[in-house]
Amino acid sequence: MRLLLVEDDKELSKSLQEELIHKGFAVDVTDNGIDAEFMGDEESYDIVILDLGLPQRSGLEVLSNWRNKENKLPVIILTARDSWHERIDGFKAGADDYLGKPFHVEELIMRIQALVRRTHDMTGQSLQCDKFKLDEDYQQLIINGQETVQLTGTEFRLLRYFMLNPGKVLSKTRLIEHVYDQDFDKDSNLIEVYIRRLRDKLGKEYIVTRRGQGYIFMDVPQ
Amino acid sequence: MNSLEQRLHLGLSISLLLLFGLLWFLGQKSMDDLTHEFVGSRIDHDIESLLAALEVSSDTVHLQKGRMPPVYQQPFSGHYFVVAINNTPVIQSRSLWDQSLIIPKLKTGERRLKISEGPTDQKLLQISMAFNKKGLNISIALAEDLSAINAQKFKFKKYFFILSLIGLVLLLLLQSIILRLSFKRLESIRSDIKSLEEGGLLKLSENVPSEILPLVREVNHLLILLENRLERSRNALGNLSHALKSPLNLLFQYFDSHKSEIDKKGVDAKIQLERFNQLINRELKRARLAGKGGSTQRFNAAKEIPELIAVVKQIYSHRDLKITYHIDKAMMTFGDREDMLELIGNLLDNACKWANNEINLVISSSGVESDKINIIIEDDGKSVGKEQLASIIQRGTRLDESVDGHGLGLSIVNDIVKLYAGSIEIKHSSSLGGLLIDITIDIN
Repeated sequence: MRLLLVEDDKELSKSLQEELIHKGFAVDVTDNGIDAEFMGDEESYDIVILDLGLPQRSGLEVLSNWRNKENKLPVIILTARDSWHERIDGFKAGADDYLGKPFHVEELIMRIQALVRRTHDMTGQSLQCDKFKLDEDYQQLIINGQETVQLTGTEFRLLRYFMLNPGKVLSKTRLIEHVYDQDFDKDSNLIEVYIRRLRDKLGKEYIVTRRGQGYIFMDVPQ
Repeated sequence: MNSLEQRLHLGLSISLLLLFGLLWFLGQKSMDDLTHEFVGSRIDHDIESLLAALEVSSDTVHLQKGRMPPVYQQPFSGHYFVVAINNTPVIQSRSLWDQSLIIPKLKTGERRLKISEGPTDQKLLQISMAFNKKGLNISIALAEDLSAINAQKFKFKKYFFILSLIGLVLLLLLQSIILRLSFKRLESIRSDIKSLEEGGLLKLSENVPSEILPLVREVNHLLILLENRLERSRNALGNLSHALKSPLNLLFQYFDSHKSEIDKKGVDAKIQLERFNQLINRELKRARLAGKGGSTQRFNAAKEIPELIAVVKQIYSHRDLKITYHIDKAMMTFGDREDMLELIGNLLDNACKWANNEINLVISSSGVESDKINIIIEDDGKSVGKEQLASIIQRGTRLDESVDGHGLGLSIVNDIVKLYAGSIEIKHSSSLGGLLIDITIDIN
């Protein structure tokens, strides 16, 4: 999953970036409002973590600019200003969630996961499709509630994106965009390698190739 | 008497009464003078005719017949004369019949005018004059009855009085209407101030009479000053907390990511860090409270509560919470907007943490002038001991470490309620089965 972290405190954003990468996110970072707004418009992120006190353009302004342009990307506001009237302003500007500083990383991760599931119209506390359940904390796959399959970081990210978009045709470019951060070489054929590995772990019939279009994760296998 | 309107009213009425009184007096006097002048000049002519008709022979006088008008022959006709030599009456008109006129002692050439009683209750204007004709000291008194003229005068005065009275009443009425209209312009300021108090306005309108414009401007100036000051201090606090929280967050993360390697000292340090964080949060939040009687934006419950509930629901979107609310229809705006949002937001947040899935919020007003606001929030969560809750609210201690920030929110609630001279009551909710927090605050 691709995540944009907008935070002007260098130390905090560095340490947060490490944590998020560790949790299986492809993370892009920016420290000012103007770049943030541009990146949010140009790249396809699954989620944005937005600090409000940004230089050049405030987080609230960035957020309402996105919403005015019908850019619906999910946003979690992360701010030291956490009084209730400020929260109301944040939600009115179009935030999806609000977390006051200081926070525990676990709580942030939990909220990110919940928000991502919500934006993909999934209910419940965990990511589940058919017999597959993805354990996001330990980055492993549980089949039929019994068998546990270990996943590498890239496999986990790829499978999570598939499971969030079951039954949809996902192009190679789109998969690369959501699994890797912006510095990754987009022409790479590596993605095919990982899809083959996932097929080995899940069973061939669950990931179908559409020639010239991309791949489909079948939650109801053909 | 402190009312400007009453003062002006009284002053203007007195001056009007004085004016009318003076007018009345002068009218009366000039009327009298006019009639005396008019009748007096006729009498003077008759005196001259009488003098000319007198024949002087040695020490006495005779009146030539037919020289005086017949009206002097007719008894009590209202026209009378008396001629005296050395103050002894010698001739008097037949009209006097058995009466006489009293002639005062006069020097030769003197003329005296007086009002006297005449026969048959007549009011006479009498002029007495003294002459010296051929060595004789002749004095003549000639009088004319004023009754007819007086009757006319009385009639005129009566009309004049009635007209003046009507005029006076009309003027007083007009004056009170003018005054009321002028003071009506002040009414708009009063309503402005009222809506200022309720937060509907942020400054007074300057479309006011020029006499109070400086006052209104001064008030507006002060309002801006006060608002800027509060804004500045709130911003400064916001910046301070912003600046403090990023490093704090880093420390939090340090402890979070090194959980396994942390020894006992590290755990102690972490506890201190949590305390530090709570203290900063609490003190900063407390410092941001405006309190009652401020000039800040007022809290409009009917408008803000649905928004607040939407936010709370979004924060707890992973839980299926049902939040119902009821706000008195006639509820006016009250309190400082940010204070009230903080108060009710924290109450709702607390209720959400404890509720199974149902929360109810009721806001109503009571008291003599609706100056007491009653906020009741209840949930269906598991019951907590009363004493335990009282201790949370008073000391801000945490009830349950797993439910984050529980104590902080309620201690802010306590601070706000204290600031608004209110009271908190904690009860068992009989309708929902959980906790009921009943808060009353004073907004005047």
